Amino acid sequence: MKMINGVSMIPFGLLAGFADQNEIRIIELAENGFRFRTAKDSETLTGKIKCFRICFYDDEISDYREILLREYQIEKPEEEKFYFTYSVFTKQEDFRKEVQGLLRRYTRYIHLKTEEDDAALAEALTGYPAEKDEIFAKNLTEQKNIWFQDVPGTKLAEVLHESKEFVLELDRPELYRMYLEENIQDFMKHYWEQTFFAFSEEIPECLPDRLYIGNQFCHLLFPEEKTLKTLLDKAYREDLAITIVYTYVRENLLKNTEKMLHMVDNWCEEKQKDVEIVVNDWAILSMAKKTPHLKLCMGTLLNKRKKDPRMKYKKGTREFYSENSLNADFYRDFLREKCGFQRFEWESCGYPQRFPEEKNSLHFPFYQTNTSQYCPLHAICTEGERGKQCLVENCPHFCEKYMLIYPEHLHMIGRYNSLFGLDLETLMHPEILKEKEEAGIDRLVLGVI
Amino acid sequence: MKITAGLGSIDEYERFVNVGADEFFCGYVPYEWTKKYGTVMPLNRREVLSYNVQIGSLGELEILAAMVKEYEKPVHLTFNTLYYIPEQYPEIAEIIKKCMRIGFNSYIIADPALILYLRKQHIDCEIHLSGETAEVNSGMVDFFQQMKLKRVIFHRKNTIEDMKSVITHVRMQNVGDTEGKRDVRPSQSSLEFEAFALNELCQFTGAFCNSLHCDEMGYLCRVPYLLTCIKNGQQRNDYIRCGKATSDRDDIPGKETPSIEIPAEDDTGYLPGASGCGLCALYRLKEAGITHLKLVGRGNYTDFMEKDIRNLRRALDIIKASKTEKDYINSMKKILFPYGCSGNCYYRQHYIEAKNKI
Repeated sequence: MKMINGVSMIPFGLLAGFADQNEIRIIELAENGFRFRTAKDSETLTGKIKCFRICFYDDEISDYREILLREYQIEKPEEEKFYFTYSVFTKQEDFRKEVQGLLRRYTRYIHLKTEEDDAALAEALTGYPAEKDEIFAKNLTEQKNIWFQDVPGTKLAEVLHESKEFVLELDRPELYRMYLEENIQDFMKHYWEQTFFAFSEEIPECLPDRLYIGNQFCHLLFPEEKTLKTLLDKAYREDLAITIVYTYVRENLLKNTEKMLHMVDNWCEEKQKDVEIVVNDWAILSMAKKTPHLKLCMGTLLNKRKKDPRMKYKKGTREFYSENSLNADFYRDFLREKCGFQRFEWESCGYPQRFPEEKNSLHFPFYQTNTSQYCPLHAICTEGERGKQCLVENCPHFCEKYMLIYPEHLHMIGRYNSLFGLDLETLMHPEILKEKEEAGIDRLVLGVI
Repeated sequence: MKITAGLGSIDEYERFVNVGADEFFCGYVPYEWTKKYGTVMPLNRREVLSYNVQIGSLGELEILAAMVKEYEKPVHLTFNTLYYIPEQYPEIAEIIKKCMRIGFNSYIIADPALILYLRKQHIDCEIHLSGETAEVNSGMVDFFQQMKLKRVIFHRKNTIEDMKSVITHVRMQNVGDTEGKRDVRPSQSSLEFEAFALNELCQFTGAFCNSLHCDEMGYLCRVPYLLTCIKNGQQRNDYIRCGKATSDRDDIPGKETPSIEIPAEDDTGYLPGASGCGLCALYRLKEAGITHLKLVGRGNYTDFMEKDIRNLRRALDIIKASKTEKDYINSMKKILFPYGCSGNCYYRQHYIEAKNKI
C-alpha cells in the first residue's frame, strides 16, 4: 500500500476539506496526497465522490485558497472501530504548491509560538511594534502629558457645549467627595485640572446636563447610601439630571441593591423626578419592576463588543466589528418590551460602530476591555501577584493610590479592577463626537479615569 | 459530581472516557463560518485557527456521535462567543439544527440574544448557560430560567458561598406547589450547576473580557505593565513587572516571583492544576450543590488532560472515603500533591481557610 507520510492533524482552521458537499477531516497531509476519515454510516463513500475541495488557510491574506481535486486515486479504506480512513493520492500541481505553502506557514507559526514571546509573534505576523512594548511613561503625570497636552480644549468644550446632552461621570469616591465639596462650576474647573491637568489650552466653562453616579465596573466603588442621598440632593439642587450607575451585583449584595433601588425610588417620589439606572446585571431587572421612577439603561458590561487597543493590528474583515447583538431587532425588541430598557450605553473604542435607532449614550474617551470581580489591583498590592485574586470584602481602595501603566503606544491603563483603552482620537478631534451624534448618539458621557 | 472535560479532538474521547470523564464539551466551527468570519467574529471562545481546539468538520461530529452512542458519555457543543451580529443568529440556528440531527442536543451559550433566538425559533435544545455570560447570582438565574435552561455554569470568580446561595435559591423555588413557584418546565426543577475545577484560571472574568484572543497576538492581560502611584507620580519599584505580571496560564513565559509553595511536577513536567486549581474546594463544592465539575483544557497536551481526569476522579473518590473536609484535604494533598501544589487557586479564600484548618 502506498503511504502518505505527511503531517498529521493540521488544525481544521488551517486545512479544511470537502468530499463533494460533505465536510471531512483531513488527518494527514503531504504533497502527494492526504488521508481523511468518515463515520461508518456516513454517506461520504469513495465510490460516489466526484471531486474533493481542499481549503488552505493563508494568514497573509486572512483567507482560504481552495483547490478542486479532480485527478486522484483513493486506496481501499482502513477500518477502525468508529470510522473508515481513506488515503487519497494526487499529482495535481496546484495541490502540491498549496501544501508546500501551508506547511511552511504552519511550521513558521509553531516556531514563533514556541520560540518567541507574544510581542515578537505579533510583530512577525502583523507588524505590531514589539520594541515599543518596552517604552513606558515614567509615571502617570508624564503619561497624561503625552496623551493630553495637545488636546484642543476649547474645541472640545465647544463640542460638548453644543451636544444634545453632555454628561459627566462621577465614578469613584474621590469624585464623589470633590463634587460634594464645591458647586458644580468650581467642581468642573477642578475636574478639568485634576483629571487632564495637561491641556495646552484653558477649558472654558462647560457644565454637564447630567451626572452619572457610580461605577460600571467595580461594585466596591458605588457610593454608600448616605453619600448617594447627599449626591442626589446636591444634583437636584443644581438642576442636574441624574443617572445612577450599577455594575454587576454579587450574590451577597442583591438584597442591599434592592434596598438602595427602593431608597432612590422613594427619593424620586418625594422630589417628583425620575432617575435613570444603568444596569449591568440581569438580576436588577426584576427589582426595577417595583420601582416605577427608575428608567433603565443597558450598561456597558451587558452591551458587549470586541475592544482592544491593538485592534488596528488584528487581521481579517473589519466591517464585522461595526455591529453587535444590539443591532438585531428581535433582541432590542425583547430588551425594550420585556426587560424595560429605554437607553443603551456605548463606548467610543477606536473604530466605527453602527448604532441602532434607540436612545444611545456614548462614553468617551476611555473604554473598558477587561474586568474582574476579584480585584487584580488588590491582589498585586497584597499578594504581589495579579493572579492571586480573591473576593475583596473590606476594600482599602488601593485604586485611589495606585494604577497600572502600560506601554505608551498602546494607549491603555489598568484602573480599579479593570483594564481600559483610550480612544484619544475623540479628544484630539472632537468633531468625531459630532459625527457620532449624527450616527445616532444623543448623549455624550465624559469619564476621565 | 460529574467530570465535564474539554475535548480538543475526537481521538481523545475514548481515552478520556476510559480514565473517568463523565461528559465533554467541545467546539465545532464549520468551514463556511471560518471562511466568512475568520477569527474576527468567532463561533466560540477559542478564537484561533492554528490550534486543534475545535472538532474539525461535520464528518468528525458524525464519528463522535457514534462514540457517544457507544459509551453514553454526552458531548456538549460550545457556541459561547459573548455576542454575535444579526446575520449570524439564523446561521447559528442552522448549524445547531444540523448538529441536533446527528445527535448533539446540548449547547453551551453565553449570548442572551442567541438563547432568545433559538427559543423564538422553537429549537428545543438543552442550553447550558456559559460561565462567560455575566455575573451569576440568584436573580440572573431566575431571569435566564425563563428561557428554559438545563444547566448554569458558574464563572471563575464566583465564591463557593455565592454558588451555594444561588443553588439553594433555585432548589427552594422549585420545590412544592407554593405560591412563589414559577412557570418553569418540570425538568428545570433539576437544574444542574457546574463549577470550574481545573486549569486555565484567568486574571479577568470571561464575560467581561472583550479583548482579542487570536492567533496573531497574545492576550491583552499578558502585555507587560508597571504599577504606579497616582498621587506623587512615583512607581512602586518593588512591584515593577510584578509577580506573574503576564498571566496565570502555564503556557505563558513570565518573570515570576517565587511561589510560597514549591511546585513539584512529575518527570514529564506535569503538575495537576498548574494553571488553575480548585481541588481543595471540591468537598465544599459538593456541599454547595454543584453537580458538575469543569475540567478546562480543549487543545491541551492529551497526556496531561488524561492525567487531569485521573486526578480529578481520584479526588472525587477521596471525597467519598472522607468523613470531613479536613480528612479530604489531608488525604488529597498527600496523594495528589506530595511535593506541593501550584498555588493557582480558583477558590483562594477557601484555600486559605482550609490551609489554616489543617
